[in-house]
Amino acid sequence: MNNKIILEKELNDLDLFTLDFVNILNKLAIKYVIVSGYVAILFGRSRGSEDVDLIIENMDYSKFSEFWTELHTKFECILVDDPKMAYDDYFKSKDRLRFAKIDTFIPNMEIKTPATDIENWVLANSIEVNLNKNKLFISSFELQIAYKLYLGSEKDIEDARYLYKLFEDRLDQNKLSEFINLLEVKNKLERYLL
Amino acid sequence: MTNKFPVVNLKQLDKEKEKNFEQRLKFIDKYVEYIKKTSNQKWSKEQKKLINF
Repeated sequence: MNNKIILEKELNDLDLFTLDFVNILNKLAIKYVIVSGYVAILFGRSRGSEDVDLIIENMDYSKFSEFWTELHTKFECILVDDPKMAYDDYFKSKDRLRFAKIDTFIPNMEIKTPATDIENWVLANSIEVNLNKNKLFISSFELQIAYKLYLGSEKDIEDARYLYKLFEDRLDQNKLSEFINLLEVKNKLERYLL
Repeated sequence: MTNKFPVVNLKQLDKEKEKNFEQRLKFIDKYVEYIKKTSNQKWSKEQKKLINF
């Protein structure tokens, strides 16, 4: 599948929230990838979400501090106020940090560094989307579909089916089969997607 | 109004739940068909109404 997608759409509040956040990451040249539900929502899935999940590259405290300062012009962390504590107790430990727009609680951006091989892979193999001339990076659809099946809630299966049906003609079937086998979800693929 | 609780048949409820999920999956197929044949401008306007509600 081509690794760049151009999408023009009327932006909703969740799109604008996401773009505000990733524009800061783009500005600071921090590598990231958006995963999970927002990938389906970006392409039209008819549901909202209280959060957007994002995997970002590891960085030292100096870079994290720069990121934190830039972020706090528009966002605030809803878990911890102190950047050193955020770095030591969450970021370095690969725990999730949540950020919302100042004086709000939802939606929020949930960020974490890669903790598994799959998360490293998704970060290294992202798809670039040009959304109304804004750049953002999202997960490979093949991995996203298989991973959603692995998670297995009704909402996850619906997201998987949505992405599968929407991009059916463009998916790399070999790559999809590989992830389906690795995550041991062949039965769910056959039951829910085919 | 009655003080009597309804009779709960869990097997029947499970069947209803399963049927509802199957019907939601069918709805997703219909919705994908709609997205594919509809301009981005139109579907995203509808999606915006739902998300910004």
